[in-house]
Amino acid sequence: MSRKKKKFKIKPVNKAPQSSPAAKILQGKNLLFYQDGKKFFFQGDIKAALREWMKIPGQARPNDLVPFLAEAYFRNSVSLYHDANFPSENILSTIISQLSQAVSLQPQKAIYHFHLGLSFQHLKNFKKARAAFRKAVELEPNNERFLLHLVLSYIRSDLPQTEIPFLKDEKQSFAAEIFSLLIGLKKGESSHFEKNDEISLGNSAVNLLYGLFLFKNGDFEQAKKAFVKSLENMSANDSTSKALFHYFLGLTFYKLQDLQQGNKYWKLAAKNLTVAKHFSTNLINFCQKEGVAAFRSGDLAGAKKWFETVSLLNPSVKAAQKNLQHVCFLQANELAQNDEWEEALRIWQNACSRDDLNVFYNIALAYDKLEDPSRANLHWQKIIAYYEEICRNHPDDMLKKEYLGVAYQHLIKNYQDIDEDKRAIRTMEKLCKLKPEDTTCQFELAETYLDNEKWNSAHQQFLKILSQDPKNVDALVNLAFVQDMQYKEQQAIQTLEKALQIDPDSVEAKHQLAALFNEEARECLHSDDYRKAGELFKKQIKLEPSDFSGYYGLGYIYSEYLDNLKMMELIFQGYISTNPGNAEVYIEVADACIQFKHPKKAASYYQKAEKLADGDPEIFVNIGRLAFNSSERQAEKFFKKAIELAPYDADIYFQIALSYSRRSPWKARKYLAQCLKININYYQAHVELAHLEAMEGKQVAARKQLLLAKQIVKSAEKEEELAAIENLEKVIGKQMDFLSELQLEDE
Amino acid sequence: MANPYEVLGIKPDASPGEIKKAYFRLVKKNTPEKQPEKFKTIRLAYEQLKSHAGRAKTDFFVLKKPSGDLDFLPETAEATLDISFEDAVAAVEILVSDIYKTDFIGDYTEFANDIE
Repeated sequence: MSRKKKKFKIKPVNKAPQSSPAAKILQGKNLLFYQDGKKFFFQGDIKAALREWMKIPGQARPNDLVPFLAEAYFRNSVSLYHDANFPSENILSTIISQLSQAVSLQPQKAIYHFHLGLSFQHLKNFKKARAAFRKAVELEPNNERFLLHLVLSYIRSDLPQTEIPFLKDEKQSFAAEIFSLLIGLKKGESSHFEKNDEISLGNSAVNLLYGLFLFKNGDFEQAKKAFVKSLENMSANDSTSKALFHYFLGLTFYKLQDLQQGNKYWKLAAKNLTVAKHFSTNLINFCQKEGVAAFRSGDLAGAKKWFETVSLLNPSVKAAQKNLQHVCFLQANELAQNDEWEEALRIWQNACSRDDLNVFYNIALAYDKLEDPSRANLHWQKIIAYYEEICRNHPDDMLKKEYLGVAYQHLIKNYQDIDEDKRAIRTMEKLCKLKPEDTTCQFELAETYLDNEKWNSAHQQFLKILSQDPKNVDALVNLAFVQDMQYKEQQAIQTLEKALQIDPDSVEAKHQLAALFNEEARECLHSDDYRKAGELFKKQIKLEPSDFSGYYGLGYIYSEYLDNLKMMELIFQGYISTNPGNAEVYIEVADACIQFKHPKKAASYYQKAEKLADGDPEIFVNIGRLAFNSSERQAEKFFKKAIELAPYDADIYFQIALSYSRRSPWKARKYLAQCLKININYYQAHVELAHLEAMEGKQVAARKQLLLAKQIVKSAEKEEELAAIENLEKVIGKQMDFLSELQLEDE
Repeated sequence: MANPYEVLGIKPDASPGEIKKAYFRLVKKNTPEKQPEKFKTIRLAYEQLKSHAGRAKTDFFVLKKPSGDLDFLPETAEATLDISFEDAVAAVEILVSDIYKTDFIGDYTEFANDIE
């Protein structure tokens, strides 16, 4: 008996009327919903169609919409089934509810009942499946596809053939023949198969049952032949059927002790998930073994595929999931090693176990690499919690203690990067507690307290460091600074004196102490205690002989309180002797003389400065700038001298312009113009001009100057300068916005 | 920079003793006279791992590998290598579905496109 495979095609049974009366019934928005829904339906966007149609109230829906609605529910359920690899119970429930809607709207459509039956069958609700198949067969008694599924559902429930509606004699009906063969297989009766002489060339379902019969009877050689023959006759498209025969062939080869062939066919069978799902008990073990073998040979991608198959076949197989995570972890590591951190991170996050601390570790590293310290720290915290627990339980584990220390340090750095000072301090405190003997981290904590103006904590922390290391000059200097901030000046002085006893050359200690003496001396002058002030200024000069402020104070006392100009001059001479060849020193002294109202003496110092600067235009510019403090006229005189000496030096004009820019912008402009006349590419002059324009609220002119500067810098390929100019442009823009806001407010 | 554990051929959880042993074993084979470059690498790896502090700093910024190994014992039942009657019914079911499967789209009803 030879049968050809029958393809069943459902013919359209319910054509929508060509001219729908809907337009007459529906009005306004409902008509729009109706039409839009149809548009979506024909475009294949069934979900959108359903959405539109659902907006029409139930009673307002026209009759000609019913078949569309039912079909939309049906198509929606089919696409749900297709989209899910193996639909879960939840998806199947949704599919069933959609199909039930379709059936309730169009109960005469057999295909809807049939799909409902298939869905119930997937849910292993065979009773309901059978009822749905039965209904489909009743509506289309000649549909063999429906009939076959009904027959199989009867066989499953062990119900007699006589109860199956419309099942004809086995000679006339393929479904009846399958029923008979399955009963034969179940009972082990060869009579059902004997009549099929040419069975090996016949229909694959019949052939399969014959092969299975032979297999069940232990005739593996013949069974193998039946399966092979059937496989040879299959068309290339029948992938599922092929996989099915591959499975049985593989099984037969195992029985024949040919493991190599068995493995070969099972490998092919396992690729088809429908077949693999049905025979998962055997194939899961097989895939698992294949996966491990692929992993052992270094084929991570192959191993991943096998483990994925097992997970798909049975999501509750924990071993496969664990192995899949393991392989994904290593794949992500490979990506990370090739600097593909984003992709690696995605895999660690989505495909790996979050219970594995090492995953957290790598995720934290990835966030570090991707410069996301906030997210990185969320993960470092978890790692730290783990090590904290270990260190609590095993206080002697030095290596873990070091790990924890490094983790803390890293966390601190990240917190500092994102300006989370409070958290950084809290973590530093933990680190100091973990490593009390480590003066470096103790010192860092103290400095952080200091930076954050937590004077009391900083004080305590520096004292703690000094209790461990009393000769730590840095700690003493910092402690003195904190004491000064706490208004404990006398304590600060004592601390600094102690620091200088340990290290008499400590520049910082000397500078701080000198500053404290200067401050105290000036306080004394406020209360007219010039004697004490004088003592303090002398102490200051002794500590920092090159700093003019001490001489200035002492000179002031001799000039104002004691009216002893000779002594004043002697003191100034003392200062000049620290740097006798420097013209600027004379200007400082001249400046003091003007402030103490001794213009004649000032003039003599100016002359000395001029003499020292003779021939050097740059020095003239510098002393001119210093002279600005006391005498603008004197300053101008020096500038003119500088120009006389270097009339074609753009730098000189530019420096002079800078001196004028805050005091006299029009003069600054004049010198900048001179500078640019000499060197049109002097971009700094353009930048300064932009500043001046911006200060006068001329945004366009300012931008123009910046543009010129940018062009010059670009052509010279000076990247840093370009960035600085662009930054300046932004600043000027902001300034302008601010000014215009102020203007608006005024108006 | 090479992974110091790999250079010394030891596991990341090696004890200080194991690190030392591995180092001396390698140094004997790769003397500075014979293999100056290799010796340098070995020396550097050992320097990184010999103290707890150095080792912690090294370990901290190295990619971690998964904890444990593959699971070789699947939790499923052992292979049956047999065919039950239920298997046979399922096989016919698969075959029948495959025979009649054109595409599910073949099951769709045709409608005339009559948007008003």
